[in-house]
Amino acid sequence: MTAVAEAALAETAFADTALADTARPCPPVCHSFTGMASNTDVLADALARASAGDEAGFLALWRALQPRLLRFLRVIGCDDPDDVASETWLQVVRDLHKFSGGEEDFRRWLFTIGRHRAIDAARARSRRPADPVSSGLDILADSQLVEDQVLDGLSVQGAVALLAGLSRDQAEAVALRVIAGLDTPDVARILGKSAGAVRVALHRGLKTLAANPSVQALGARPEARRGAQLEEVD
Amino acid sequence: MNPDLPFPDGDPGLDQLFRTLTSGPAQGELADQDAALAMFRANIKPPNRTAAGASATRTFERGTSRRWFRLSFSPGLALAAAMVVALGGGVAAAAYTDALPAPVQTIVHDVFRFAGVPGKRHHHSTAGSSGRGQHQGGASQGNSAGAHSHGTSGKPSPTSGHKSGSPSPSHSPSHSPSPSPAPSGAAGATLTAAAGKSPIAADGQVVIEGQLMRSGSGVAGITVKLAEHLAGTPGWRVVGSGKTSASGDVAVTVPALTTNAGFQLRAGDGVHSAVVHVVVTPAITITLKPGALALRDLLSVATQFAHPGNWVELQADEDGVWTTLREKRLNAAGATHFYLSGKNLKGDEVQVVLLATLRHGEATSNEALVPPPT
Repeated sequence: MTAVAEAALAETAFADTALADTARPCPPVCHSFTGMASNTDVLADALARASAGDEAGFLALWRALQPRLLRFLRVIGCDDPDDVASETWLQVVRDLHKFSGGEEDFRRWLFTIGRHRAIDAARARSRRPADPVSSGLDILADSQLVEDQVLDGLSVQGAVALLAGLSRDQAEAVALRVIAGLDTPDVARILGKSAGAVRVALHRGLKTLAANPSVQALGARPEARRGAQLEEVD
Repeated sequence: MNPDLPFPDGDPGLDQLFRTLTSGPAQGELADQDAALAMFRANIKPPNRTAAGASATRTFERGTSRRWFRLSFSPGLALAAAMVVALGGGVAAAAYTDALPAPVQTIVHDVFRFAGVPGKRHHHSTAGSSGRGQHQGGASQGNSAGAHSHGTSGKPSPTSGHKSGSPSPSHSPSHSPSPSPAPSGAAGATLTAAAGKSPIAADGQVVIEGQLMRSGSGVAGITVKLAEHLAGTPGWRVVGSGKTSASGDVAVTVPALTTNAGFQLRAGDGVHSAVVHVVVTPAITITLKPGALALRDLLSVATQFAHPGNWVELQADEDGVWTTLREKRLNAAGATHFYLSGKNLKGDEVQVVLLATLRHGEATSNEALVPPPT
């Protein structure tokens, strides 16, 4: 098994042991996966500088985490991820002077706020039905389009749409574990569930994903991997 | 194979899926970078340096102030607490000033042109325009001239700015007008761009002025397109165009801008200006109804072009300094309200500040005088 999938799945193997490993840190592969291992020191430095009011530090943090935050929000079905992400960063900036902790703590804090803001936005939206706003995700929810995405090389939007196809519990657990790069106890805390319940959700979510023909097609088509090499346009 | 695993060893499909989900930024994901930085600058608060400072700041951040203590505690305790807040705030403010590093000039200059750096003045004797943006001739000169006087420089800081209008650190009025850098294009041509005014009132118009130069001389008769990127939305779109005058000048007006935006002039052949940012300021008004609830007054807050969930701060004038009392979010209608104690705030002026977000700048309401209870 490839290192990435193995790390995620290895954790689900502990589902039956419930809280036996709550202190177990995020597997190293999790960080290499998220591309954050080599950037941890950089991000920690950026966090310290941002906390002191340094704009360049904030810029580094924002550039590193904004894409992940947007993807997470899209996975959990946020209608206006850009707006919610904006609200999230606003709260982060306003409370940054009260924050203490490292880069991983910051990530946990950021995604916790993001999830809360998304819930707030969903509640506000339910109280105030509005004209449906078309988003890229709405279009990608069409399974045929997802298939096309896979065949053309998986885009971020296509990958997000695949995760969004899971049940809410599974999608949140997998997104926080994979996209946010958080360990299971942190995911459990954010979701307000036991670590065991999160592992079960991860286990089932990964199993569902692995059975998805689009995901299987990815594995069968090496050329599809080119989709991961996304150009940076901004 | 691990029997606990749901499928056999080796799943390159999942591997690929996860790699894609954790890959670098995709198109549009960092599109709001400049606006995010503007939001950071407008909202960042002093770091806590000491335990006392931290305690005081936290208390303050919950929407309290010296006045809050006066309302809630005994006089003695209120006085002691007020001193803690005042001292803590002072230390924090000083620490903030000290902690501010030398700004990364390129970033700051790039981003905070929208704090009011309209750039070089041009004469406008151009003709022709199309699209949403309209060419503007001499009128833009007037707008440009007003750019500085209508900047954010006169606005008090969100938490404790001087009512008299001393600028917050992030909104210095001393920026010297300078056009955006002009990337060199085909055959050495350069195209500069500057916003005639920023910030602007939401739903107002902005003039983007530019000059096309080659070998030190203006290039006349070239159609220049204006591209726009609205904060919070992906991609660029052309919103107008104009032709350069004999001196190479061009000005394109963008009407009814309601969201922070970046603009770029494009002359073709790879010749384009740097991005110019414009901040919009939503309208915010307050209305006070004395005695609406027994001894408490109702302060209604209404906004236009702000968004549900945006934060507003209620501030009171304390000896010439605006002090934040409380903060709330706007409701679905873009409004909210505060109940004030006429007994404690009598004779004081209050205002409400809409905090900056990615999509709009900070805005300050009109002021209202709290009458004594009847």
